[in-house]
Amino acid sequence: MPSLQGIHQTTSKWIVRPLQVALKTNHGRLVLLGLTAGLVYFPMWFEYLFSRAFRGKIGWFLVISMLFLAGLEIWSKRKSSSNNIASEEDRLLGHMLIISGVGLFPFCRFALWPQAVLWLLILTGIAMSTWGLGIFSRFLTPTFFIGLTVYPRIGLISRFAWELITPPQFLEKTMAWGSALAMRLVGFSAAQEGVFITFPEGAVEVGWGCNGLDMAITIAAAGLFMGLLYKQKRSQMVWLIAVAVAVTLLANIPRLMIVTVAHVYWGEGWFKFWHGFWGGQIFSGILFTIYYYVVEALTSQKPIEEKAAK
Amino acid sequence: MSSLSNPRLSNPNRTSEPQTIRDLIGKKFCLIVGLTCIAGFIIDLFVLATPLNPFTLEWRINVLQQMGDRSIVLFFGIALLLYSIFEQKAIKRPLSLVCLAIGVAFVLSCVLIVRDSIILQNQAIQTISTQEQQIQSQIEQAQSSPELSAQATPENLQVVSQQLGAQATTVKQSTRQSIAKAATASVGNFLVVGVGLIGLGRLGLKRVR
Repeated sequence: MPSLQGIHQTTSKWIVRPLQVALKTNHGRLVLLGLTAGLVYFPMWFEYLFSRAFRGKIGWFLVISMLFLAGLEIWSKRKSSSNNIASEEDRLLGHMLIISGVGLFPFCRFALWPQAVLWLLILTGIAMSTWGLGIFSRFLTPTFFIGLTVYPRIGLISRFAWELITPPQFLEKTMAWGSALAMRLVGFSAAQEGVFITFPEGAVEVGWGCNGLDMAITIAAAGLFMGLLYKQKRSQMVWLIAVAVAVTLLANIPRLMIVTVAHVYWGEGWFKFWHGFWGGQIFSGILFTIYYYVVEALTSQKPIEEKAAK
Repeated sequence: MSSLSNPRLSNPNRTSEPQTIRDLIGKKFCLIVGLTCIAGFIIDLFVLATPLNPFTLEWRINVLQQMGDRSIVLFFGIALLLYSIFEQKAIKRPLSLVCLAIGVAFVLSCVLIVRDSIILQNQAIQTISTQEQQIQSQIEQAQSSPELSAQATPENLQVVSQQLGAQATTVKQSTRQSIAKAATASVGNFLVVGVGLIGLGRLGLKRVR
């Protein structure tokens, strides 16, 4: 059983003493100031992810995986980073970033995103003023991943980027077209009108949530993480990601077909079942299984191709 | 090969000088072009920003967007100016610090641009929704009125209502997209020029070892 003295010793070793050391220099004080802003932001960040995880969203999975991979790389290279000290100009720039970020922070509490931006700036400032600019090129993957996880609403960023580069409702219309085509092939009299799949008995709208992009990003990211963890070649990772996107978008068509049939012919209860939590779980289960077998098939094919090439 | 064949090498005093005449002329060129660029930017900014009205959304969006478009001129001017005075340590350090400060300010102003764009987006979408609701309520009135003409059957009106809804969605999405595009361009400009200025400032502050 840990005694009171033991707890006291641990806190003294891990919290009090580093604090005392940090408070002795200007740099240390500024870093602490920056970390205070992070401490204010952290509960909001965490609460958002936590509440989302309970509603069946999978953004938290991406965030946790990215942080885990970043942490893994930082840990494996921790020795090489500790002996680098920032140059005078890097330290000045870092301090500027920390001070301006912390100064603006109280005025930017109206939403989650400005706090995320400022926290990213402060974090950059802390890293820069402590280890110098070179730290970012030495830890490229962690920099990228940590930068992405600062704002927990990954779905919103991907939607913004997607809508910026594609015509309005492009994927929704394509999905409606694909589903209508597939339904005609199996004997339904379906037609596509914009984002609607129409039947003589009624119509279904393909909304943003049904276009399969979020799922495609999640599975593609899972492919990327697996590739990084198992240290695959670049070309193989591109394959893993491309296959993930293709499989997900193709598999979205049968899902839309079921939801549509449920809405038009089976009644409200079935529609809710397939469109809601359980339908989503069944769909992701099937999707991961398909993806697994496709990847398995692809990786087992590779050696044969290589042999043939030799 | 004798050293006499090359007149520049024959005079050791001239080659050891850090600045040749050509260098000096080059620096003067840079000074003039740099100052011109900076002055041009400031004049543009002055004309755009007056009358000052920083608390209205339209003014802020307009000024920041135009400023973003022209910011590359400022960057170019500061870069040339810094180059032309790079040997004069007394001016170099303060100018580098100014560079760094403007760079950080540019990066931070992205937050303001995004915030303003989101507000503008919401306002525009709100306007479209209000107009849509007005027309929808007119359709509802027509549906419930006893004097329906032969073409305006309740079914036809239902179709019109659905089409209106779909159209409104499309207009909303394209409005959202165009505002987002403008904001992204501004943020991109400020971010790129801001990081560039930070890079210049960092270079200017570097101690020659």
